[in-house]
Amino acid sequence: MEITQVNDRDTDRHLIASVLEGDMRAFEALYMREKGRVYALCFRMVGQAALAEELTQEAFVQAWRKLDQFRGDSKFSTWLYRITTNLVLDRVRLKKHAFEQNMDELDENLIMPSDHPDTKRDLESGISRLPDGARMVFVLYEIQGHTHEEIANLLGVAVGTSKAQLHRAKKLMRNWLEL
Amino acid sequence: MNDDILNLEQEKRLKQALAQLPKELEPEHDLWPGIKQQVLFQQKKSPVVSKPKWNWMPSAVAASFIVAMISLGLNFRQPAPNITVVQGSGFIEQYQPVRNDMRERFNERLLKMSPETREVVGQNMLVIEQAVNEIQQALEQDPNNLELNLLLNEILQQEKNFMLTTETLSL
Repeated sequence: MEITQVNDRDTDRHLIASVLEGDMRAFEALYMREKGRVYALCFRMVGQAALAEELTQEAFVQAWRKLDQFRGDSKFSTWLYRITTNLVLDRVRLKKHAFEQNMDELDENLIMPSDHPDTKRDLESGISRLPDGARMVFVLYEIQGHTHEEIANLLGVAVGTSKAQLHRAKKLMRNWLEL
Repeated sequence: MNDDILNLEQEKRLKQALAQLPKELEPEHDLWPGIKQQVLFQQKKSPVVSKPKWNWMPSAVAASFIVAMISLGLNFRQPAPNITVVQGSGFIEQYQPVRNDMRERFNERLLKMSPETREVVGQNMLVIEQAVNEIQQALEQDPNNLELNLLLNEILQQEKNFMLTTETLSL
C-alpha cells in the first residue's frame, strides 16, 4: 500500500514538473485521472449536473493556474479536492440562514417523489435532494471525510451547526431510503 | 432503548450504502476541450504557469475593448431585452439567476458553432468572465468602492450584450 502511495506521488511529481514546463499532455493525464472524483465531488455538493460540470472545468483551470503553489506536502489529488471544495463553496455562497433555518418545519415538506419508484431508494438521488446546507455538510463529512471542525471552518458556521445539519441530513436520508 | 437500537441499525445501513457509492462519476460532456482552451488562452497571455497574481484592471479593460470591437462590427438583428443590472448591496445575487439562464443558452449555442468560431467567442467570453470574477474578488475586500461597483455593473452589462449578440448571430 505504501509502495503504491510512493509511486502515486512520484507520478504526481513527474506530471506536475512536465505541466510546469508547458506540457499540456501531462495536464490532460492529470485531468483524465482525477476528473471522475472532482466531478463526483462537485455534483454531490451542488446536486445539479450542469453546474457540476461548469465547476469541474473551473476547478481544473484554477488548479493549472495555482500549480506552481503546490508544495507536494499532500497528494496532488488532496490538493485538487481542496481547491474544488473551496471553489464550490465560493460559488454557491450559501448564506448563514441556509444553515440556521427552522429545520423541522422545512423538512416536513421535503419528500422524495413517489412517482419514480426506481429512484426512491437511490442514494445519489437522495443526496441531491437534501436541502443545500444539509447536503454540503453530509457530503463533506460522510463522503469526503472532513471533521466537523474543518467543515465549520470551511462553511463559516459553528461546529454545533455542522453537527445539527449532519443529523438533519441523516434523518432525511434514512426516511427517504427507508433504511 | 429500542429507538436507540433502531437508530444504530439504520446508521449502520446508511454507512454501508454510502460505502457502496461510486468514488467517481462521469460528466455527461467531455470537459477537456473547454479546459484546454482556457489554459491555452491563459498560457498565451503568460507563457509560464508561474506568474504574479492577476490584476482585475487589465482584464476589465481588455474585456471592454474586445466587447466594444465586436459590438461595432456586428449588426443586431433584434434589440436586446432590457435587463437592468441594479447597483447596490446584493445586486449580483438578484441578477445571478438571469445570468445563469443566459449563460446556459450561450453554452448551448457555443456547441453549435464551428470550432474556429467557438474558440474566438469562447476566448472573448473567458476574458469577460475573468474580469467579473476579479472585480468581485476585489469587491469582497472593499465592498463600498464606488469605482469597482460601477465597473462590475458595466462589465455585467457587456457580458449580457455579448451573450445576446451571440444569440442573435446564431439565429
